[in-house]
Parts: sequence; structure tokens; C-alpha cells
Amino acid sequence: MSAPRRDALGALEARLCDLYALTPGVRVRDFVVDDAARPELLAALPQAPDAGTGREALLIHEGEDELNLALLLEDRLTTSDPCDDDALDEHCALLEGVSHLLYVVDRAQAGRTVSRLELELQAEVDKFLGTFVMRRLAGMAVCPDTLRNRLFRGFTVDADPEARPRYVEASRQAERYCTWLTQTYLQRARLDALLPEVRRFWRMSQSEKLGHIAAR
Amino acid sequence: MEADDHPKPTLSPGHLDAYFREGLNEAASRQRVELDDPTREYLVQLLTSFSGRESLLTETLDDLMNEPIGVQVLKAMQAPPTRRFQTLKQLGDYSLYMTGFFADSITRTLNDEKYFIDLGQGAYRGAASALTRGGDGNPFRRLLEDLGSRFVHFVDLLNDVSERCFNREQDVLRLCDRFAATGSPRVAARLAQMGVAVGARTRFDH
Repeated sequence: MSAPRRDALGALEARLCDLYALTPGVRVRDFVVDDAARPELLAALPQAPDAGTGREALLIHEGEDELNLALLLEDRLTTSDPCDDDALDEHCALLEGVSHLLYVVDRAQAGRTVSRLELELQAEVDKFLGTFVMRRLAGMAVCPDTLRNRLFRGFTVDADPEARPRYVEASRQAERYCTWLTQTYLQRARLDALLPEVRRFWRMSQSEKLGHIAAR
Repeated sequence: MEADDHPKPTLSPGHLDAYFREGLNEAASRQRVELDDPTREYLVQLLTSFSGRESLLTETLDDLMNEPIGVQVLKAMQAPPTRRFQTLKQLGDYSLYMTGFFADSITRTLNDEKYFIDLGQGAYRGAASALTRGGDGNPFRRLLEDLGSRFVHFVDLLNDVSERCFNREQDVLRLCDRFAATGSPRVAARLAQMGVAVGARTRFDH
């Protein structure tokens, strides 16, 4: 991986770890499979033929006492500018991949299970909060309502019929939560109170997250 | 639309199915939506059965108030085929009825309409794929696939029937919002009738 792409990935990983107070003990870049390495990996994994078609995919293989992870990321994603509206789609794909990896590593280290809905829901929240934070740190004026609408409204889901409800539900739940975060913290400039809230949310299980959102 | 365009309907149980059938035929003709007999009768039955209930919930949907419909769809997709088919069909019916008959209520929070459409489409398609007997030639499977693939058109038909029942006034702004959220051809046509031109929606893939 080239130095600029490694740095961009490291910066994004650091922002998410700061945001949620994570100390994963691993580096995301060590799990990344770039464009050059992807064919070789996929050739060794004939049981995962669909993994080679997406821009981003987290491959998980559970052994007896170990978890093997590979984060497939197209090279162009790792250089996407979080402040560029035209590149928001690519930046969100990158955020999603990093979010998935950090979440799975944390749950595995804690001996906890993780559902796919839970994984997608947290990734949707991370897209909003991660982009908001990175833009603010870059000195941009960010309107949370505009960003939220961009992420959660008018989108299309290209997924097989079985996966589609998961993405739809994850997006809806994340939108509700991010709307509440916006009204409660971001629009009132209560960023100090935002951090404990989102850190608590990140550590909740699927049922706890859904219950938390329903109660807002 | 003038308030007297349609006489106030009398929805006695014995006349419900005929009333809905007539409404669907008129709506299909007006909107130029192809509606074959089995599909029309399925929709008539759906409208009649939901209209006759005090509660929209059924035995398999009794968690609806406590659990998001998307979570129920996901759970149903993991269930054995018979239960998968029953539950997904009911979730598809529920989504279609809510979006079609109570559009004005759920569009107060606009994403709800898109949410019900997305999940309704998925539920009907899932129910169709759970029907393995008879393969692709199974007519009920084809009907469910049609409900899934043309879900928005059927929502539009039910919108028409609903208006016929409740004779609602139209709100241009709400219609514009609904078009932005769903891209419904019927809403676009209604806006055009009201002198409001709408273009293609901007879409954002992720």
C-alpha cells in the first residue's frame, strides 16, 4: 500500500478510535487487501465468489480459536477526500469497511457475538458521525441536516433480496438516531455531551441499540 | 377536486368487496396500470380483510408494535419455508396496505413511505421465493413477484381507492415531498394536473 493511502486510512481509523475511545490493539491497514492483492486472495477463496465484486467487503473466517479477517478495499476508496461532496459515496464506502473491521475486532476480543444488522446499523451511524467529525476538523462548516439527508434519503440499495431489508432497516434506525443526535447535541453545540452518548451506543448490543433508538 | 365528485360511500361488509373492486378497476384504467383478474382479486381481498379488522395485527405480526418491521422481515427470511412464506406475505400485505391506504398518515414522516415500499417489495419477493412448489410456473408465485416488482404502482392504485373512500383534499407541498421520496408516477401525474412540473429525482447510491 502506498504511503498516501496508508496515511489516509490511518487518519480515518484514528478519528473513529478517538470518537468512540477505542484501543483495538490492531491496525486496520494490516488487514487491508488492495487492488493488487485482491485476485490472489480471491483465487484462494473459491467459496466466496461474490467478495470480488464489491468496492468494499469484510471477509470473516472463524477457526476454532481464531478469527481470520480481510478487508477488501478498492484503492480509489482510500484516497477519497472526506470534504469533497462528489466523493462522499466513496468516502462512505471506506468508512463502512473500517467501521466493520473495528467493530468485529472489538466484539471478538470481548467474546461477544455480532449480528449483521447491528454491524450495518453502527456503520451507518459511523458514516454520519465520521464524516461530520472529519469535515469539522478540516475547518469546514457542516450542516448536520444536509449531511444526514444526503446519507439517509433518496439512496438506493444494490443488494440481493435477502440482504436488502437489513440495509433498509439499518439506514432507517441510523437516521432516527442521527436525527436525535443532531437535535439534542449538534444543533445545541453540546459536543462534550455527544461523546459519552455515542461511546455508550457503540458498545450496546443490537437489541440495546434498537431499544435505545425507539426510546428517543 | 370538488367535494361532491364522489358520493360518500357506504361501507357495509356485504358491499365492501364490490366497492373496492370497482375502485381498483377505475384506478387501473385511469392510471393505465395493467391489472389482471388474480391480482385485482388479491388486492380486493387484502383491502376487505384489513378493513374488517379492529387491529391491523395478526398472530404472526403481533410484535409489530414492539419490533421494527425490517427486523421482522429479516427474522422471517431465516424461518422454515412455510412460516417464511406466511410471514413475508403478511408483512408485504401490511406494508402495501399502510403505504397505499394510509399514505397521508405515514407521509408525515416521509421516509416511512420509502421504508414501507422498500420492505414491502422485499417481503413479497421473499414470499415468492419461499414458494418452491410448482417452480416458476406457480401462478401465486408469479402474482407475489408481480406485487414485489410493481409495488409502487399498486400503492398508487390503493391511494386512489383510499381517496375515493376518504375524499381527501390534496396538498401540493405534501405531494411534492411524496414524489421526492418515492418517485411515484401517480403522484407525478397528479402534480402535473395541478400545474406542477417535476423532474427526475436525484439519487445517491451507497
